[in-house]
Amino acid sequence: MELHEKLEILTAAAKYDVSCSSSGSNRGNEGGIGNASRGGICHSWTSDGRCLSLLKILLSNRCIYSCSYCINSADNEVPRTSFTPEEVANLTLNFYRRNYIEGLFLSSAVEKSPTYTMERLYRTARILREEEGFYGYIHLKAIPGADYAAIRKAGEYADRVSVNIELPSEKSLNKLAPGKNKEAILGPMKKIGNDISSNEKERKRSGRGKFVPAGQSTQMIVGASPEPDSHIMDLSESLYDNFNMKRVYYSAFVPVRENQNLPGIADPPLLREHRLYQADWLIRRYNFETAELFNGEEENLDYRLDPKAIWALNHPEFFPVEVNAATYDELIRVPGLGSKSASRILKAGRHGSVDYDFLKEIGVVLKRGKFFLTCKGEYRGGLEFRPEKVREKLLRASGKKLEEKQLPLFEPNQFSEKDEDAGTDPLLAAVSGSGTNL
Amino acid sequence: MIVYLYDGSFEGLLCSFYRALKTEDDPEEIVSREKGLRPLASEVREIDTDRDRAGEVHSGIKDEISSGAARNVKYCYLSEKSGIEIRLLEYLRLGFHSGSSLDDKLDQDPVFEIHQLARKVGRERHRMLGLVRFREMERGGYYAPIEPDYNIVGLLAPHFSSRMRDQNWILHDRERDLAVVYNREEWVLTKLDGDELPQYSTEEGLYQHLWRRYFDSASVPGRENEELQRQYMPRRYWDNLVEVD
Repeated sequence: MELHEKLEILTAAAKYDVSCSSSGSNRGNEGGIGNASRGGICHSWTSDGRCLSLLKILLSNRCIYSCSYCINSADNEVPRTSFTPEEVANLTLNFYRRNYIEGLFLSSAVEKSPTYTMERLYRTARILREEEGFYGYIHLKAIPGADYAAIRKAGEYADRVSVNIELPSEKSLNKLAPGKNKEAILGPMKKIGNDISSNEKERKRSGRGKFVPAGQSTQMIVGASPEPDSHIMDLSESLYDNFNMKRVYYSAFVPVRENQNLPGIADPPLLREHRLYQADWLIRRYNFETAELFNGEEENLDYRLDPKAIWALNHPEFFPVEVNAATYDELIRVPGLGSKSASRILKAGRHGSVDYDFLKEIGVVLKRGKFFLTCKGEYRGGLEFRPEKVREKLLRASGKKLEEKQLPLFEPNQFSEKDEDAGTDPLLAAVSGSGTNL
Repeated sequence: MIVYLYDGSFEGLLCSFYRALKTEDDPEEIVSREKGLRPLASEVREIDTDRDRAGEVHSGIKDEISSGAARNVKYCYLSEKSGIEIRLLEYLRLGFHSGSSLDDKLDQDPVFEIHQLARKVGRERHRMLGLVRFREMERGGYYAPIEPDYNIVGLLAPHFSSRMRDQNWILHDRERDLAVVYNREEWVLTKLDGDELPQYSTEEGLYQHLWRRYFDSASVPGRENEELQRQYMPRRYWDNLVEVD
């Protein structure tokens, strides 16, 4: 098979992994080619509007597993092929030297066995680092079920390593990914997390080699299984807290093949995915706790507005906030205000007082913000702060916006029957530390 | 009304600042000689460019205000926005008065305007770090044509000289006839005529082809959003890319 045919097959098969981040590493150039940029760099944007930063391909799409949601499932009839580690290294270098990419994101279907596959991923990284003097970004998948020794070796060359959770509960994993189990996924994830933190400490002391300096990430598919948003966010929060996770990615389920176990949906739940990212952001950067994002008995986010606005509307007791008297933590909870604007307000407040013109100048989204704040006592969101009125106005504005973007306001739940023996999901329990040891 | 005429270089501009800050001149405009004078200008003062003096002014800004302020001045200068010189003078007057807190005073004219413009230039610089496309030349080494909005080719040089350290390359602003040339040891900013393109190697076509194939295969069907694509990667940059027509 020609190289370009392999490339097309193994790119198309890899694109459902959403992460393309190249940030978080500062590997320097020690005399060869390349380096990493801490903030990450996008090199292009595909026609779906996603940033293209890494050469994201599979080493092979020949798979021994049959996961229902996956295009590479063993029982799916698609053309199969594999790269050699040398081919991938050569492609990476030639793309890198032309500044097409920040580096390589290499994953693979499970060819022959998990350990065999992991060894080949490792070999590719070793060629790049040891033989070609490549200092650019490398993200490798850790293959569930592989010997940890092989994963550990790969982590010495990689900037980031990720193990995909794929499905957010044990039950869904058993149903849709029968070849994988929670131990095979969470086990290496836990070990990688531990090794990252001990490596960080040791590196400071002894300057020994890096291990996964940009941290580990994972991905969950949203909408292929019945777990509600509150379950998904609980899982994410626990992964951040207990597994030393840097990022959790959410991937709206795109039906790539028909299967009786899967919901028959026409469009991927993009709005839901978007809201989950916003909620995740609030947890990681804005000191929110998962429980705060769900009102009362609600199990799913209200997709009509962003989760911060929803929270604010459910907590009228905090609003409106007087920007000239508020602390940083109060400011970042105001819809329309971000961490940058909050710091600027505080800085400027020290030199004078902040008025509406100033807010506009520093880029505060007053369309939303005006309902939740006062400036020198002045309120511009109407006569006075009335949560119900504000909710109405925001919903109207957001409805229009979503219509323009052609996103459905309501995403029907594909899973009509309620989970009968819901109980506690063993996967979530294991991650949150209340379950069995791994 | 006093008008300063300088040679258009960054050093020349710094010397203009020096003169304005050290004398009672209070110029109304600072204009590059290339751009020519408005006929109304009554009192024109020619500014001599003195590299040592320029260096003094530059370290003065860094030491007495901040290195962030020095960067803002440089970035705004590179924006080539007409009339920016006199705004920078106002910024520095305020700065030498208030010291390191200058950049917190967003409510004082022209701090915010300077920040916005410097940020635009910085954004284009960052964007261009990704959008530069090197092509392998027949005679060896790599060549990348660019046509940025702002005069940022020099700002890109440090990034690419540490990244593409083991290859020769030329980064060419074809609009401004300016290029950074790197020889695996150091880079220089030099004049380079924008009309002629080099011959590319035979392998070059293969990798461009592979890159296009990769680009097309990487998009997820069902998620098309070309508006978003153009927002991140505006059309005006597409001519010098490889993957889009």
